[in-house]
Amino acid sequence: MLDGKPFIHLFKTPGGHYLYDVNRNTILTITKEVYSLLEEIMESKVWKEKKRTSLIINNCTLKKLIEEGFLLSSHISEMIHPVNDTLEYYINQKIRLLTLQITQQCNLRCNYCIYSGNYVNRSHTNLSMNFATAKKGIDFLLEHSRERNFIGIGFYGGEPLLEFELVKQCIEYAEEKSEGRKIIFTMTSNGTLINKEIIRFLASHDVGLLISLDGPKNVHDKNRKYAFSHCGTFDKIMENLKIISTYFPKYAKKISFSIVMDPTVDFQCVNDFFLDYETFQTFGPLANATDFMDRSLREDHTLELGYNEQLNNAYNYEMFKTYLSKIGRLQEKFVSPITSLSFSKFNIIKKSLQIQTKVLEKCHHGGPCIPGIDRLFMNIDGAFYPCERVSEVSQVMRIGDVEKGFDIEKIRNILNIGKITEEKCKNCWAVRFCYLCAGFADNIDNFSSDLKGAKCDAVRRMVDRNFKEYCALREFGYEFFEQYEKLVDIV
Amino acid sequence: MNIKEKTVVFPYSAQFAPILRHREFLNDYEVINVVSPRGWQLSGNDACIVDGSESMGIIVSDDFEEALNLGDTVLFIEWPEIYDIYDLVKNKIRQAITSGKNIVCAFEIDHVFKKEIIRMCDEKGISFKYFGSGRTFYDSNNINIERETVYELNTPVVFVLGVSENTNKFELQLALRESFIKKGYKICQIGTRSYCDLLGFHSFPEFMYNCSIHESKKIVLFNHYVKKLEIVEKPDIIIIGIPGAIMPFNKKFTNKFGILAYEISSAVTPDIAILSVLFAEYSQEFFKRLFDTIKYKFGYEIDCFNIANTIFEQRDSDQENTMVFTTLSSQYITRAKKRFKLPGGIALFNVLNPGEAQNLHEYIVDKLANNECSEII
Repeated sequence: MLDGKPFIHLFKTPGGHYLYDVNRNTILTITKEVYSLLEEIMESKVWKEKKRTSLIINNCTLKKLIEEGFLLSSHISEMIHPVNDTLEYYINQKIRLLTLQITQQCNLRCNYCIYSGNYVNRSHTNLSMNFATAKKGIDFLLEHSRERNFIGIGFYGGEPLLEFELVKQCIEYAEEKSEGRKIIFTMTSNGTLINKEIIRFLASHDVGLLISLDGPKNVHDKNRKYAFSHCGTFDKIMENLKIISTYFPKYAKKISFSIVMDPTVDFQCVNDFFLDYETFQTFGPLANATDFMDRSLREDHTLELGYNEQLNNAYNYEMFKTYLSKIGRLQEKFVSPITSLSFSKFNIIKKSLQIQTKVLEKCHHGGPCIPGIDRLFMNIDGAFYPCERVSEVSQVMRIGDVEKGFDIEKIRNILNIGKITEEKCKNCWAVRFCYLCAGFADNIDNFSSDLKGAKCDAVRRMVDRNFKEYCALREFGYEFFEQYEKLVDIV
Repeated sequence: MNIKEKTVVFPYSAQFAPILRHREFLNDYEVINVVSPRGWQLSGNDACIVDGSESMGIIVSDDFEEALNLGDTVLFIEWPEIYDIYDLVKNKIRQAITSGKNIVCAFEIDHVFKKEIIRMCDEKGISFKYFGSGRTFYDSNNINIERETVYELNTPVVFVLGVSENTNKFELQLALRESFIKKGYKICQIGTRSYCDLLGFHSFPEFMYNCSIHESKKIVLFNHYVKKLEIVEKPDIIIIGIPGAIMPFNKKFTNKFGILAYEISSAVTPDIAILSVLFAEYSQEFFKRLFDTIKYKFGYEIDCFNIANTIFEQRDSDQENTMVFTTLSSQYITRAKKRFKLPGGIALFNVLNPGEAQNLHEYIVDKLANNECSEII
């Protein structure tokens, strides 16, 4: 017997009907008939009509699903993160990555930069971290990452190459202190200050370099300009990439690119640039493609946001080509490197759809990392934040500093951000696949349930679309099995 | 009285912690210093920091050179697989030999380096003892089993099993050894590691890992091995640690499918079986399912569980393609285990809690005594 309205989400593709069982965390294929019956059940009208209820419950498929423990009506009893009780063990021994804000100065003034004045955040300054503070940060990382076999140190800015000597000191210090450990170094750079000496050092210490490059010259130079001349930076970056590919071809493979998508530009133009441009054949893959950040924006911001139909259509068309290639209907060489990045979301969905044997009780919605553990951002003054995308003027997001250490209660509040929208989250079918973290609720002095709640519909739309695309790909025969890559060929 | 060699241990990690806690079993070695690589950031902390246990009264150092000056011998011990420090350890061994220290290796070293150590030690006139795997060569053609009969044992047998690695199995083995010896029992013990000889008991026999011996032969051989030990040593109790895990953890982390556990369980039937599990918020049903799985897979019942102070990290393990754990404190486990309900009154222990090793001992003795109430002759 059904004990109440099942906690499920119904969706369909042109090729099938499905239900996502929230308690069991599983997507099931169902017939059109069962889909319609469940729709009736979900609309609640049926509970008042006993005759109709019994007709529905007597459906064989539904009976079988109920017998096998599906269609339960249980909802989350309490929104609490699974590591809440053991948080102190994570913050004492499991930090994975430390990002050092080497300097707040930059030789560029990019329109969409979070320090451009368009966001509720600090602006560019000419201040830099001193080596004493950097050393303390590195010591903090080493002391609080004992249970990690390898850890990361990232260099961030502003533009970190403005303080290249400090970067060198940090790398050499970390290597000296880390006997018996493996440290992976990374750097995010605008790519304009690169020279042979810098590349020689980065290559000899195996530093992964992420260069910001938004597309062809007209697109890149629209937003990424020098601070004083206001000239575009595309030509300089291309010149530097040529130096790298000529003199350091092996290291070139460790360099990847980050794109910020301006919603007003021609997506096809950007896409073709990365698809066809010969220069990129010698470098590493695209690392990420992001939109303008749309949280913590000032009301008087000057960024052009909003829906761009042309871009949206062009993007969706490229995404469609990506799907065609995955099901073997299009050669990979025609596939956009930008939309290929987002295909990894389906492997995450596959991994996340682990069938559960017990009902939802205490849990937390997807989205939050363990603040300071998955990544720890340290600014020039030694203040700690969960990541570099968080506003540095936010009181609620500051989780301690290198002198006093972590503020565990602040970390706990960020970890359990679902508490502020608990009643909504308890009843949300997308709870396991949510991507909202505390950054979406950051109101500088407090967390705002309104700010966070305003994103909920977008989350559900995205999860619904992802489920449909996931199922549609499976209908066309695509298998999401990563372990096939390691299959031993003994046939 | 046996004069023990003043011994420095390197690299100190959670692997050595049970031995340090029960260092009285190191008959020939007095541990005076435990040293870890600088980057592990253990220096200055009590040795218990590596496994979340109670204070051991020994402070970890990261100054290998200084430690060399204090000792006669350096014991190089295995370390967690996640650390890639083989080259570092090799250099430390060379440094120790150059300083004239006796060398004890309790981890697997490659053949070429072993020859180098032997040559260097000979030149220096110092001793080299090796307790890693590959010490004994078995020629399967020379192993002749006339009849594949397995023999009953007349001595109570205790198994120590785990659902995976990192479940405090070695601590359980040493805690049991300590409690039974203190009460005057004569023990025959086979441990899960390759260097249990250092601690005065048998290391896990290498023929069980030999690829050229058929699996069914291994079962018979193990049975005969234990039977022979029973005849020769005439113990009051036999304690056997089962290396590895009892079954696959999941489809990604298959734990060698628990094959060793199955083979040992086919060779010997325990009177008492202790199963150690990782920490999680388990329901009563979980323990019941585990109990039933062991019963039907191996043919005997679990008598009690031990809950380890380690959590399995699914997400990190998926990303790193190796099992990743987080260590909690033993006090946390002591508090948390009060929440667990076990079926049929089966006991649950936390061996890292100082008092519970004794409780476990008494529980086993009571159980064995009840089993002997009526006996088929």
